[in-house]
Amino acid sequence: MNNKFDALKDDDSGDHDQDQGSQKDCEKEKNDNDEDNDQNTAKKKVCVSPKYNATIAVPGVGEHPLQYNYSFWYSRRTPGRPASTQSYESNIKQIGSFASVEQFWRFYSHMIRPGDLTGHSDFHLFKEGIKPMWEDDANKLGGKWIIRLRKGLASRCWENLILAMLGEQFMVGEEICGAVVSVRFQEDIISIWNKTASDQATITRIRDTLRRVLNLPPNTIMEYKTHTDSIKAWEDFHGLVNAVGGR
Amino acid sequence: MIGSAQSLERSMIGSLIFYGLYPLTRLINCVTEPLKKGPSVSINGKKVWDGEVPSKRFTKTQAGLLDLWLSTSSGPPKAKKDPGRVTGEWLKENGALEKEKSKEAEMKKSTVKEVMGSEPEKDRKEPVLVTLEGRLLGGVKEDEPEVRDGVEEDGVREEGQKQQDQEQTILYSEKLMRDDGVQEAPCSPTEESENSNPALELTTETSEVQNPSVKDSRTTDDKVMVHVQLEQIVEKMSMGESVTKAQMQKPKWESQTAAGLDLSSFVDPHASTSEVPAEIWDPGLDLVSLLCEAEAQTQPWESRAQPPPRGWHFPIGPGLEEVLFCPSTAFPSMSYYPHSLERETFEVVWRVWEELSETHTAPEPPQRTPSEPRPLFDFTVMSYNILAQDLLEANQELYTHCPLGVLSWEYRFPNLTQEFKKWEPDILCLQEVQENHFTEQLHPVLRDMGYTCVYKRRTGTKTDGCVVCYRSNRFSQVSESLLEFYRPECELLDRDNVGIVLLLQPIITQGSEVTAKGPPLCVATTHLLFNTRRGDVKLTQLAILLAEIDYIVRNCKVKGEHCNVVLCGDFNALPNMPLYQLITTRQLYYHGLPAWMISGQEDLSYNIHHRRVFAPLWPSTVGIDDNCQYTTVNDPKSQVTSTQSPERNLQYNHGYLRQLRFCEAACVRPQDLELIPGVTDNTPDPEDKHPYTTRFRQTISHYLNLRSAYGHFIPGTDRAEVTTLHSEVGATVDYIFYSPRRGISGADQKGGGQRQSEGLKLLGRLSLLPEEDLWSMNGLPNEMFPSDHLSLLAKFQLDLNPV
Repeated sequence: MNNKFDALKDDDSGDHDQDQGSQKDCEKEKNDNDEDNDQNTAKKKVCVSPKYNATIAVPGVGEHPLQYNYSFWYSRRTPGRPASTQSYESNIKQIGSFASVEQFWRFYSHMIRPGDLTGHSDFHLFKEGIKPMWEDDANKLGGKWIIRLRKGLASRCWENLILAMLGEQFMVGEEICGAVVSVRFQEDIISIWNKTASDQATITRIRDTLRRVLNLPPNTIMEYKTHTDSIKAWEDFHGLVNAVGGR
Repeated sequence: MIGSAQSLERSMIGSLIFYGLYPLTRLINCVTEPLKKGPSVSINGKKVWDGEVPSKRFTKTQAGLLDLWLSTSSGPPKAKKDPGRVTGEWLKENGALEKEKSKEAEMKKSTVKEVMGSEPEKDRKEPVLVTLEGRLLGGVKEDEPEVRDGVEEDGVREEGQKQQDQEQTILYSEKLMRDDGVQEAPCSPTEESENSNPALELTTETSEVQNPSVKDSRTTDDKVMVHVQLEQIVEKMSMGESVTKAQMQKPKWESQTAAGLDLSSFVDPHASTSEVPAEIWDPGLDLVSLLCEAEAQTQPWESRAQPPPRGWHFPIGPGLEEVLFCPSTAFPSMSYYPHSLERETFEVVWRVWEELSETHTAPEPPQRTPSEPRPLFDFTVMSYNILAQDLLEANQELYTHCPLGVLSWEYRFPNLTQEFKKWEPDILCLQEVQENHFTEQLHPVLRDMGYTCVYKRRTGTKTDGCVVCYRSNRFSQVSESLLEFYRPECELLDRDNVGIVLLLQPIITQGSEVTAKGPPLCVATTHLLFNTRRGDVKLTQLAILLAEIDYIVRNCKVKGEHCNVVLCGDFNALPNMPLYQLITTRQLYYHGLPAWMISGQEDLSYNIHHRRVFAPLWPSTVGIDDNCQYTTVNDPKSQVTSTQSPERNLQYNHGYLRQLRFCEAACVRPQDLELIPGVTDNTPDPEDKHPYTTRFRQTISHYLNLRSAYGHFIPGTDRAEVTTLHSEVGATVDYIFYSPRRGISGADQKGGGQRQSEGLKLLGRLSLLPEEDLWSMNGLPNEMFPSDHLSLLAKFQLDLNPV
């Protein structure tokens, strides 16, 4: 691939890409600032797009509409900075929202494949209006399936996962909240979040669909984790009492 | 092999004449092979007493003697005795039977009289078919009434027995006449009387050997036909209506004295009694048929009741074991020697019902109890390639081993219907069903049996097609899909094969009242391309079928129903070869495979140049992705999906989504996309062929969970099952695949209860036969099996306890 970011040394350096003009750098800050505005009620299709004045993404003429609108997010842990709720929330950036298959590809194709990301990075793809945080109303009672992947598999698995989600192949109604791919040092992790951690039938169905669409070997370990547990573990780890979020 | 054959030829000729019945090649094969191996006889995988053949080859003096006879131009006598070797094993097979009764039954079954009619004009002998149930399945025609006589004993008793036993496990027993070239000396009445078991209430009349008249028909060929007529009157049952009369033909030699003495020294006369009504039709050679009594030495009761058989067969020459164990590789050569087929093997061959579930009790054909209190739904599925007559006649070279009689549709059709009626499968999937035969003959019969049939003829000029029939009182039809694999716009899909996919719903009745309907069942059948070199075409055809099944299954899933699948038919591919692997393992890496290897029907690896298969396997115009799913959700059919959901439900599969990947709109960078170096600075590249992005990986896969109902080996042995057999091929190419009950349902938490009811449980199946057994019946088709395929029959159970 065109790893134009090979020269990239630091994530938040804001380096310009040599080949492409970076006319949008300025938007970064704007994005961060606006993020606090979206105190949405976590209802689907409520657009909370920070940058675009709450314009709901709509499919273009002749495009293939999706069942739900979605937003891409990107986050990267800044080296040396302690993880905290604040840093997590400030590090997560919404990349864009889309409402149709074509619009999805438009974003996706201009994004680096997860396997080519560097450092401690995540892509998130959540229904529009749902923030990729445990504390979001849509997520707080939910949980996620986690699949750990050896290096080299993330790109393909991620694509298969989100296509299944966009194409409504999980068939669990409105239960799906979003999906995350996390690039780590020795492994990559993909996960899919749903709304109700106590809904066993849904969880089971999601797991089966995951197995199917990801073509996972039968012995692949899949772990379901409620966000409540995630929060608790995070708090324990950081010794915090009043954690609002974090990873 | 050839060399040895020639070296043996001299003595062989003598032996041939001496035995009169054996074709040269067969005899050589039979004699030479056992010398190497000397395996024991086994039937259905079980070892059987071989008769203790003392010697296996002729001595020089014997050979010389035979030469001498040959020069006399007198026909050798032939007598054949073939004891049915069915005894103890049969018991085991049947499972627990009452011992005494079983003994009697076995006695009957084991003793078989074979009468062979001889007719000068015809070369072949037809095997005698006897069903243990007393039903003749096979050819009951007698072309030569005068020549053949069937002697039956114990007809009555047998019937009584049958009612108990037969219904259980033994489907077919076939008795074939074997002419081993056993010289039969006069039948001794004494022996016969011994054989007849007084305890059996048989009135056995002494059989008399009447003046043998030698009829020597020596044709211009090398075949020597000798006729000796020996008449033997056997007995008449007190109750049996069948009068048994055995005619034994006995050779009359001028040189009888000389020969006779020598012969008598090593040939034991044999008395024969027959019990089961055996009907013989013998269009073939002029041979004399003799009756043989089968004694099972393995049976203790027999040894008590009767003296052990002494020398009832083959003091010299090939014994039973040799005959039965003619190497299968030698059989194809038979097609070059159509005249040498009068190998008459006495053997009982059966297809046993294999019970695979302990909990289940009824092994026999479907008993459908209309009121089934249990929430279980048992049903049977038969898959059967019935060999279209047009194809048979177009490929006659494949059937030169068959007597013409068994190749006629008029002969095969009743046997087919008999087989259907025998098993009454709830679902019947047929391939190679000729259209005119279907509309004029088959369909009326099946309709009268309570079937609803869906027929699809092959495209083009082909006259045959596939049928799926289901019992109307067991299933209701939800939908039907008739698939044509021919796509004019696609070069790859230029073949005229078809498939049928039905969506059925089980009907649960109580009395005459429909009380419930079961979960949907998707039944699919096909007959894939035969061409052994075009595995790529086969895979593509299969993908079309799988896509339709997948589509139906997913539609059910949308409605919250689990759809079970039965996929059966003639796939023209061998077990565990790539095409099979795709079905059962759901995935196949095909890139670079030689096309012939995909089906593995024949090994073409010797070819220097292979047509290989590369990705993409089929063009996108087929409309199916490499997950064997339709790519077009806008397909009119898929609208059904949308309408079923109350609110709009926009489903797309991966293939469809990826089609739009590089569409014009998708290649424009979004204005609102912030440029984050290393994150959002990618450029869409349609030429970018990452394995995970290319629409066609080098792997194809599907989402159906399928398992074969058959294991492809005779259970407990390493002998392969065959579902088809003709002069070029003996192999498994027919299958019944089903979606099995999931074993790991325990892992499901809440949905556990529901999961357990998903999937089909395999209860049993009708066993197949190894190639050797079928060749011992003269291959396929024969009097019993009217096609060059065997029927596959499996019984499944559906758990109706939903949720």
